[in-house]
Amino acid sequence: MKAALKNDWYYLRFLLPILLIFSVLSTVTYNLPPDEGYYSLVSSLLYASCIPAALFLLNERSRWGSFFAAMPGKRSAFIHAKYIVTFLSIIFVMAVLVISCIVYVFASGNNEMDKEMPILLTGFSVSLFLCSMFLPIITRFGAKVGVIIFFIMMFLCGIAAGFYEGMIEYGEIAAPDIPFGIASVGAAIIIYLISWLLSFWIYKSKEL
Amino acid sequence: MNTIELKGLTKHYNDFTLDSISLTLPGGCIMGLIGENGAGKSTMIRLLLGLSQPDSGSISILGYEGKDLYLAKDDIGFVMDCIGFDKGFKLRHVDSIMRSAYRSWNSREFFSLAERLGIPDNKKISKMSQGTRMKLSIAAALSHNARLLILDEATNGLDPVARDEVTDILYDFTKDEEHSVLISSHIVSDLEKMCDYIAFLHMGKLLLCEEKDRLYEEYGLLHCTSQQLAELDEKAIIGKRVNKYGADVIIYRKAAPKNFKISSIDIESLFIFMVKEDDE
Amino acid sequence: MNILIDNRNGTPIYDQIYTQIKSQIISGELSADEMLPSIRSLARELRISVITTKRAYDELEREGFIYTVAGKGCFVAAKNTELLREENLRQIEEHIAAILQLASSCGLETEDIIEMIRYETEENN
Repeated sequence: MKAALKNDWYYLRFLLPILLIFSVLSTVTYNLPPDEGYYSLVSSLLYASCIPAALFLLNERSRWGSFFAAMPGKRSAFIHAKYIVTFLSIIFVMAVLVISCIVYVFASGNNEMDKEMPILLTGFSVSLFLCSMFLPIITRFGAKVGVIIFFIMMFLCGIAAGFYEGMIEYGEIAAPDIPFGIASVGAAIIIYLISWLLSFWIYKSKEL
Repeated sequence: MNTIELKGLTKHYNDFTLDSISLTLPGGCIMGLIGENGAGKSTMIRLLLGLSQPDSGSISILGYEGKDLYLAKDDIGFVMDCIGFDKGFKLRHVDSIMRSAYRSWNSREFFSLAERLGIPDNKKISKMSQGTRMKLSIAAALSHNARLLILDEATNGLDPVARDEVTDILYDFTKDEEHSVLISSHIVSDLEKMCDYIAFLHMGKLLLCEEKDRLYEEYGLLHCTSQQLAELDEKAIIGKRVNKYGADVIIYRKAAPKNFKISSIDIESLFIFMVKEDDE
Repeated sequence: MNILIDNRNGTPIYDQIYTQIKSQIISGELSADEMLPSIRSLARELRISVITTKRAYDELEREGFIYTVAGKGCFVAAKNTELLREENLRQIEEHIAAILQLASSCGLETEDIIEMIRYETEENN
């Protein structure tokens, strides 16, 4: 397990700073006039769901999966590491966004945290949900399929976010509040765990 | 103790079947697994390393078998044709990963072996030549007290000097009965000198698995005319190649006519001739 | 101990090793109770299969030229003069057979051969 985590960390050292910069920039653009929609606030969370595809792609390029399976230890550690690392990465981006928002509160005196936190929580859940979807697909079909699906989903998310914001703006649905945000996180975590089990089951008998 | 025992090992794919392979690698020996591309060598090695599961048959490695087979992995050093690390890794990254994977990983031994083999310690794998990458894989495989070395097409792409160095390393490795080597290749000359046992794999079938010396004793190469060829006993012939001016025949030495000059076979010709006969 | 392997001359390698060690034992180059290299180290040095060297050693031991001490290694057996004499007689017989074959192929009789041997003996003295 440690070897798998170390190997994933080797790539995260480069991926996380990129996400960090992207997160900070998106909070800045969100807070600067003119008024940006919710999407720009959570876009970095959604893009963080690229982590699984990125890691698998890099692993496939170096044949790490096969190599790891031939090493001592259970081969499922490969999947566990991916799930752990993906979850922590999304948490990381979430933390950066929350901190940036808090910093902005102190810097500008404007406090919109009660509106922003639910959005962030929902964004966190969506990102986690996307990963729950990507990971089993990539485990089964490979990284290239995952990358294609990632781009398609990002495109659809952008459209969906637009519709969502529109509906809130026109009052057709209520803006999310904290309880809604927390409930969505809970649901997303449950789905993530189910996805973890599914990927584990797929990987157990995969030909490497 | 036999290092590897395979009994009836079988694996089916859509377009290929590894068909009931039974062989034994005694402790302290080097076995060369020879076969053309697609013969099943890598399939067999993947089964040994647990990368895929057999459909039937049994595998025993270093005394471990069945549910306990995975325990052997700590004692197996393997070298694939492609290095399993990211091309941006340097020696210290390899050391870090291996340290977390193998119980008996010895960092000091790894770095000193790398130095002995001339592997630069501050270069990325992407900047290393194929020969150096291979040596790196071998250094990694040798630094955790492995008792079995499995090399899958490891000497492809190596220049003659590097191949010679690898041969030396393998000789050193089998210093006693506790250490064995299984090496697969389609380049026969690599294996011919150093192996104790030779196994031929062709289209998923094991054509033979024998002490190399016995092969030299049992088979001989005969050059004769077409008429003489016709007079030979069919059953004595392993394979033949006929041209306009005569024939090259590989035969059982015992069944050879007394007055003919029989020269030594080379393993490569033996393999080619056997494959041709098998195909017919 | 000197061992020279010729890959090309057709004689099995174990046979070459066996013959060379044997003649060195007989000639005294290898003295009694001298330790021989282990099967494995010999194989490694000569870059040949360990099974080959084992075979040569097994053959030498079977014929009484060497003996094994468990845990220690292989040693040259004390010169057995009877063995030596047998060995030399065997070689002389081989040579005689070869001489007679050559003789018959150029029409010489056994008497002629004996004459030649006598002549040679006188020359050497």
